[in-house]
Amino acid sequence: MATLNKNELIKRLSTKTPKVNRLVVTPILDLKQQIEGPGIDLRLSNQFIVFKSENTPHINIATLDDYNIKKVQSEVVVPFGESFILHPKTLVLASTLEYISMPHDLSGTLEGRSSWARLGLIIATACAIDPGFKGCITLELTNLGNLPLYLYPGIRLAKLILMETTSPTEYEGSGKKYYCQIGPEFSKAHKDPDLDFFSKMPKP
Amino acid sequence: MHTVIGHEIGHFYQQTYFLEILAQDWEARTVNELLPTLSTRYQTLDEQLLQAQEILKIYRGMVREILPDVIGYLLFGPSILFAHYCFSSWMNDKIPPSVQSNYYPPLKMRMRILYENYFQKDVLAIKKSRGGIFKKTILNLDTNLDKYLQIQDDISLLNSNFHSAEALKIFNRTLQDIIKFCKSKIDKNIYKFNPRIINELINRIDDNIPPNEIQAKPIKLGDIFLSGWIYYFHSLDDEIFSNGDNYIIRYDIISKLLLKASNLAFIHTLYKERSGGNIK
Repeated sequence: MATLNKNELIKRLSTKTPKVNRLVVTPILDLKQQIEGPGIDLRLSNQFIVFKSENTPHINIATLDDYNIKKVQSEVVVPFGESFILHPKTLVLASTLEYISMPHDLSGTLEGRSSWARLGLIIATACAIDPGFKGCITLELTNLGNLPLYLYPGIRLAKLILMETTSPTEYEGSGKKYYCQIGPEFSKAHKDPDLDFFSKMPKP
Repeated sequence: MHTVIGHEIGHFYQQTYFLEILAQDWEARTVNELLPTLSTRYQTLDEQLLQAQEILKIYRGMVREILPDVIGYLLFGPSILFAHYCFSSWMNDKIPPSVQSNYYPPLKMRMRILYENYFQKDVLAIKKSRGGIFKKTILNLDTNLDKYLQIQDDISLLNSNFHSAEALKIFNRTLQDIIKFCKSKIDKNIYKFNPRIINELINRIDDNIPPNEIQAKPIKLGDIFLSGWIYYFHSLDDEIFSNGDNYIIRYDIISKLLLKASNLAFIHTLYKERSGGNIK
């Protein structure tokens, strides 16, 4: 797999190839700033999902469903121009501002920008973007530093690295659980088909 | 699919209209005009005044909802008519105005006003445009709406009751004033569609991409909403809407794409303006 460089990225973004081969990152507010080297800088959206630790003793995905997951997490929208304060050692879900449409012959990985990593910010732990994926990429933001961080919606904090696959691949995406998402999505781990088997397995 | 925002913005202007136009002297004048008719049905002046108030409540209910509809149409084009049309497929479009219905006018009447005063003119302009999904779908919708509105059961319903019939007469007399008022308030922001842009945006929606930009230029809210509705009506017979589950999934995706597009186009426009147009 070869990583796409700056020129190849620009070419891919501007080419009107058939739908399955088209790379779309929308909008790119500033092409010069956002495409530097082998990657596309992505911005922070203004939607967040925070954990309600004050009344949640634990998370057990075996007992979760679409309704009660919202008892342990809640959505927060921060207007552009205002900030979201990420406290030390906390995890919140956010997403990229940009909506991505991946062609079937590219896979991607999301990395944090080093400027933010130096302040203690980790932006994603599940970094793989599958060929054919469409949607905004959910970020798992964690502040590893000692001091709270002000995060402003719209700032560039992630880098999307794209690589050509050896052959085109159809998007499977675990039953398309997160397909066409437009912001951070609640976890759907409770929908994994093998969860019942392992969580209810009789003890030997 | 978010088009209701135009109607809700319209309520701001409707409140202004109530304060500026439907003020006390208007009410006194209108009641005076109603008294000769009322005196043929009700004997005492007290009763006549009481019944006049009931007529005015129905009339105000019509203005309260139809004026925002007009503002919604001026701001975002025929999307609001399509949203009403979609509602009419699963809700009662001929509920008589009364205290129980909070004096809402029948949905069909609201559609009729938009259709006759705006959509028919838009259709004439679209007929002259080049082909594409936009033109084809609009012309189909025009045929369906025309057929639907030819049955004037909403008007018959209003005319079957003395109070709503009188309210309708006042409304018909003042409709053009309401339209002029709306136009004067948002003259510079009146939406004009571009069939070429709508057709390009439809392609994006079909590819599950938000219709927020074309060639790195942010799109107006009216174009975003309209492309969503045209795509929806164009695709209704396709396999993607083939059963209840598919319908809900697909409708949800289109709705999400339009919402995302609205947000992105907003921040994109703002960014371009603040950066002095130096953004490529």
